[in-house]
Amino acid sequence: MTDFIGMLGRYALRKITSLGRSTIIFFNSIFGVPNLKKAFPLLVNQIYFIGVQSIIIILVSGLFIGMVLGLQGFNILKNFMATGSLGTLVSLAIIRELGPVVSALLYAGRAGSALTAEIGQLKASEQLSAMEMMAVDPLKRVIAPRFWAGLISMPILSLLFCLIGIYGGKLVGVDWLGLDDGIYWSGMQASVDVWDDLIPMLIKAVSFGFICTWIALFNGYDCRPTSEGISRATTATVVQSSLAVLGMDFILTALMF
Amino acid sequence: MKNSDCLVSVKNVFFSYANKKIYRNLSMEIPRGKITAILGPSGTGKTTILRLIGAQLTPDSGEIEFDGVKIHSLRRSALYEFRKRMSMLFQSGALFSDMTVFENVAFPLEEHTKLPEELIFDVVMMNLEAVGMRQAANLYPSELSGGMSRRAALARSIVLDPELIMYDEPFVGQDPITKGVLVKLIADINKSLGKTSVVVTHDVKEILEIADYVYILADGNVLGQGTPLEITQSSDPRVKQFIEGDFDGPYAYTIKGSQNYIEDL
Repeated sequence: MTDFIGMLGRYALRKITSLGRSTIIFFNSIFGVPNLKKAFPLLVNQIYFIGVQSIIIILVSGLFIGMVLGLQGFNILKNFMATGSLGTLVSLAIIRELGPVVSALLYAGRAGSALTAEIGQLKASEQLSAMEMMAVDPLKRVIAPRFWAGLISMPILSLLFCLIGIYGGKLVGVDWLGLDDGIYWSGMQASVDVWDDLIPMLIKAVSFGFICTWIALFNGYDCRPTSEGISRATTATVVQSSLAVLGMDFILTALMF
Repeated sequence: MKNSDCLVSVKNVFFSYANKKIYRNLSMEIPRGKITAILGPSGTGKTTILRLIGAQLTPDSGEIEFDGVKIHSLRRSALYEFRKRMSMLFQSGALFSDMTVFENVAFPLEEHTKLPEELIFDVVMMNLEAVGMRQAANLYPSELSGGMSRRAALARSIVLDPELIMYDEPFVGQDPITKGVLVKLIADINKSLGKTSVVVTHDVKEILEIADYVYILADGNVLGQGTPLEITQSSDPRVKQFIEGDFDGPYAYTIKGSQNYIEDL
């Protein structure tokens, strides 16, 4: 029994220490005063890597999810003679939930894992140590630009997901199943509100971007500098980010809708 | 040694890592402008002492002074300012894999100086020429051999003109010619630029040719110290065994706790 309590205590201490370390890394990386002339090109590079290179997977996924939603929604609404509400259903489902959540999950899988692996590799090959010994703080030079790039990219990716998702719903509902074009778009126009739907979606997207990028960067920075350590850290990033996004989504939904 | 003669002082340092005691009351002094060699069997924490001097690790107790300043009591920003006065050549070279050799060497200059691009170009090329790597300026680290990586990293570590250069196992895995080139480079940099050098290595023969002072570390403390002549003439059987590379001697090649072989079988 005492062994079990001891084990539990050690586990809790390890987790608290890890949380403390991640908070220190977080504060040191984002609250350091950056040299804008040097930081801006680094930020642009990272936005390209994290954001632009994720666009394809976001667009393709968004299109298919919108199409599936259009098909399922049309078939269900048909039973209630309410196919005219397809535009409302697709747009609200995508803007309020699927857009930010699915794009965050895709972001964690595509960009988050890549960030962890990259930082882990920099650590394993002593490049971060070399930077420290050259009096260049890796938290400001390596971590901070990636963090801000994640925070900027995520809402844009979510917006793109929503746009293409709603278009996917239209492709199936209007172009394939014959729903009137005007009914689809007017349903969407009438039900989607900037303050009630779009702003909460952006808040969700920024929050998910924050949590996914933080988890990815911390796992990379704190990983054991071996191949196995990097592999474990990469897996941990995807698992922890996915769970954090889903948990946070429930809290934000409860608070905002 | 007078305080002004010594650039780095390690005073009564205790250090453990993952429940393993690495240093027990370690004290040593690195003389200014000289080449100090740190030798010792594998696993004695030779690289660790470099990381402690660079404040990448913090001792459990004891002090490390760099030019009279307790380096571990500095704030983060002050520590980074201090690190401009030292540099380290890592065992792997640790060149930035996404930059060319030129960009690697230019990196510290671009980060810490406001020199115009033309001047940075000239300084980088002069440093690369000094290590015989000017023709490889546009290559990426993945295109370099081990010896070339080490030399490019050496150019990078001297480009900011630091007072202290720490070399972590610079000769590991190098062929005899490259070893000779690196030995000459370290000696030349020390003599011509007047730098203080600390070289951690296993290569006794090479380092005794150029070192001014030698420390041999074992069992968490200094086993022997002195000039290369004093070390080679030492009567301490443990020092002799290490310097001569004898199989038989006070140090067993098996790790502690391996004695009960028959029982284990």
